[in-house]
Amino acid sequence: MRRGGSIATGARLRAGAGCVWLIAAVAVPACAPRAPVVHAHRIVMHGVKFDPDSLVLAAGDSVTWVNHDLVPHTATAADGGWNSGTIPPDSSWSTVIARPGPQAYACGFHPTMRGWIVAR
Amino acid sequence: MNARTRLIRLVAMSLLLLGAAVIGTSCSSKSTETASNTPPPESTATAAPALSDANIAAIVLAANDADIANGKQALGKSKDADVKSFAQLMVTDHAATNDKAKALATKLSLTPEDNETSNGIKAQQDSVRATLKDKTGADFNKAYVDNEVSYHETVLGAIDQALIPNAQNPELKQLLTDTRPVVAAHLDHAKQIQAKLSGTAAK
Repeated sequence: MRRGGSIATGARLRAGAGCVWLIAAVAVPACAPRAPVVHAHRIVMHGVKFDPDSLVLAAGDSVTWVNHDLVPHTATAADGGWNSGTIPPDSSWSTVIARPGPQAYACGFHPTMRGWIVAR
Repeated sequence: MNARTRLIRLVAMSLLLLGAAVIGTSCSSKSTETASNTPPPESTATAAPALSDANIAAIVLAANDADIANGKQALGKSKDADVKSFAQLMVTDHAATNDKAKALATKLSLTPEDNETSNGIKAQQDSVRATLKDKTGADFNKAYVDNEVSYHETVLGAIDQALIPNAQNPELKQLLTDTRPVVAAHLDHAKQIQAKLSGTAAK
């Protein structure tokens, strides 16, 4: 019993040590830099314009284009990095802007409808 | 066309517009960049001809139908990528606008009532397409785009001076207000292609 108890005690100690390591392992990330906060942004398509027509955000943020116009539109990056395809009236499309830097975009149907996104 | 003939046609077109017999044809476009996105002044309401909401609904449908037909003709005849792209846009956008207008008319139990203006639009644009039917290549492209510029200029004028001021129902007035920037964007787009076809586009 004692021997068995000793084994049991040793096992508890080893288990306890494991918990310490586990706690330490869990605690370490808490001291690491916080994960960036991701924001969701909204751009309204109305009057054959993007509103706002320029938007500054953090790389990794999401953007949703909402079409409140009478006609279909697209949100198409000038460098081809992203393209919504057709967004019918009363519909929306979202993407994550991953790449930092300024990005010009336009409606693929209406060349006078242009916008800018600047990702920090 | 010399300058005098062009002026006469412009004046005639303006009178037709004010008399609610819309749509000029081949008048060469003059740049009205600043006017495209400027809301109509409130004071024009008193000078506009009296049109009922049923008249206005018929004019909207006729104007959209005419440009859809123009666009379909261009899709069948032109091989120019810019012209075909624009023509497809006209078919898509004017069909979408017509869908909204028809849905609103149904909602309001408004039966479109043909009138001198709506009939004038149909007759005028039928005549333009008959003329364009015999043109090919660059001649067709130029004539089609020139007509699209003058047509959208005229429709924009009609929206500002006749349709919005006379619309009584707030939802119909809002539909016209929402349609205006679409027509203005089409006009700017048509002017860009017109400049490109004539070799005067900004490099």
